Amino acid sequence: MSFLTLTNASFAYPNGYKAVDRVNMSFNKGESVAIVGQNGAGKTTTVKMMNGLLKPSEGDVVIDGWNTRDYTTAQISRKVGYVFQNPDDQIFHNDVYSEIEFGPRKLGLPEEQVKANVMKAAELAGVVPFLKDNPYNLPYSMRKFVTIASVIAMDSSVIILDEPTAGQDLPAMERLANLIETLNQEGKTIITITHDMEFVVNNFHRVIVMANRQVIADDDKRAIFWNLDVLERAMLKQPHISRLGYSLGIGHNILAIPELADELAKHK
Amino acid sequence: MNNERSMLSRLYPTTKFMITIALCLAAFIVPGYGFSYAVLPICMVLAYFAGSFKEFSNLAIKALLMIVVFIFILQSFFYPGHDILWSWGIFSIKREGVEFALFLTSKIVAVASAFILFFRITKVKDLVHSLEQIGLPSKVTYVILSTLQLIPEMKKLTLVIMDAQKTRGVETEGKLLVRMKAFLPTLSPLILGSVASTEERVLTLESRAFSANVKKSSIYTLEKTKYDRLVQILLIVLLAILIVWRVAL
Ligand SMILES: Nc1ncnc2c1ncn2[C@@H]1O[C@H](COP(=O)(O)OP(=O)(O)OP(=O)(O)O)[C@@H](O)[C@H]1O
Ligand SMILES: [Mg+2]
Repeated sequence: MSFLTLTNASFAYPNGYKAVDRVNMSFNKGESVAIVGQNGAGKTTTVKMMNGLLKPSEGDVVIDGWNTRDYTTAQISRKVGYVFQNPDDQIFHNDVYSEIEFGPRKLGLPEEQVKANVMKAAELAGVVPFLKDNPYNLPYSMRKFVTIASVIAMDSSVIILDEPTAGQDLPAMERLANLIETLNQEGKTIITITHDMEFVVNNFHRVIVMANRQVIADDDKRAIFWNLDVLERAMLKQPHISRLGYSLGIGHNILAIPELADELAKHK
Repeated sequence: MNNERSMLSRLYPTTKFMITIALCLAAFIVPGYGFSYAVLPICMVLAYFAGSFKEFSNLAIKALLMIVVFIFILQSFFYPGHDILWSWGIFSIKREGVEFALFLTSKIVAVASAFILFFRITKVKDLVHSLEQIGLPSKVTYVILSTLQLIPEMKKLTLVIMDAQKTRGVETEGKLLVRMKAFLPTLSPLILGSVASTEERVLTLESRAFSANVKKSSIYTLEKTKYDRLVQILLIVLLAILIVWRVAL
């Protein structure tokens, strides 16, 4: 049984612009999925429908049996946590600790539990050294981790990360990968929007491709990254190693360095 | 959407302002309240041609209805007078009150609709640009610009903060009380956010040589067309006719 389903969900902004057009997606509990697609494809709009921030203008979004039309975002926030694309749209406290603590406290968890959630989330996101700092004084990349921590602390079963990889350096990417892995092992559903194909190859299996307001592919990463037609329509590039394999004319399903090495050895 | 702006919205800001002033003057020149009330539908028609009928009508009717009803109730009951039209206990509606209310509200409706129309069909950017052309110093026009933008920006920021709070479990939808309770906690981040953005704004302005002591050119241009001339002349002629008619009568 899928935990989160979008059925023919469309969304038009108040100015009349249709940003998402009859999208179908469904996610099982404990899945980890990447959503890719060029700027303006409708990714953010789609995930904002998953926590009720936007209600579909047509179609349905159902989370764990709840149709988002019948519930407020505040109620849905127990089930689905959303990390905004722009951290500045999310942060509204003057120190990191209060920011992270706000969500679990609003859920009415007991004091001890709130504290435990905050510390666990802060450790996973690597923001423990900054707990007393003003988030506005932290660099963008760190602010992003503050917002991730503040959503993890709410302990929802689905966590949506909107472009967490933007502007992050290597250690930050590793922290991110580790965090996704850990949460996933705890049984949480993780949906990650990203423009970094290497990050997708290294951390996900299932990939959803969006282009021009719609889902144009939803498959295993190997099928996606070797479906040149889909990639072209979405204006995406293969990951570097796949591209190398493609231009060398070897293999037709290479994604990572070890596979390329094997393939090259065969051709020696 | 605005690529093909209508003729009316393409007029020069000062011309649009003249339309507004002409409507206000006319409301005071023409006796009685009929014409003054008619300024609202006239503005609605103009707004229709400028392509913002819905926004204008919504705003004008919402804003004016409250004021008009309120003034009517107050004036008809409490304006001193003798000619009682209707009474209930110690309360009574007097004809003098109703007449005064009609006079007052009709003028308010006329002036307010004319000004709401002006701000609906004139982009703040255009207005500020034309003020600069007249020769106001850019510091003054900047203050005007940022003041006019303050409210919509605050509103946008409030919505952003409310969205952030919703996703963290704050109820903001539903009854008035719930919404009011949700509004209070947005205040402190709203003010702090505005202060924080001021600092960045100063840096941005300086990096674009805002305080440099030279005459600046602008790649944004607004042109006065022959229509501006035409409309201005038409307005003056109409006003003149009105005055003559009024004096001659
Ligand atoms: N509030 C809004 N009002 C009107 N149009 C909007 C609004 N927000 C987004 N859009 C438009 O909807 C389209 C889809 O936006 P969306 O943010 O979902 O794209 P995205 O796939 O997340 O892109 P990105 O990779 O840039 O984040 C864009 O063309 C955007 O301009
Ligand atoms: Mg986006």
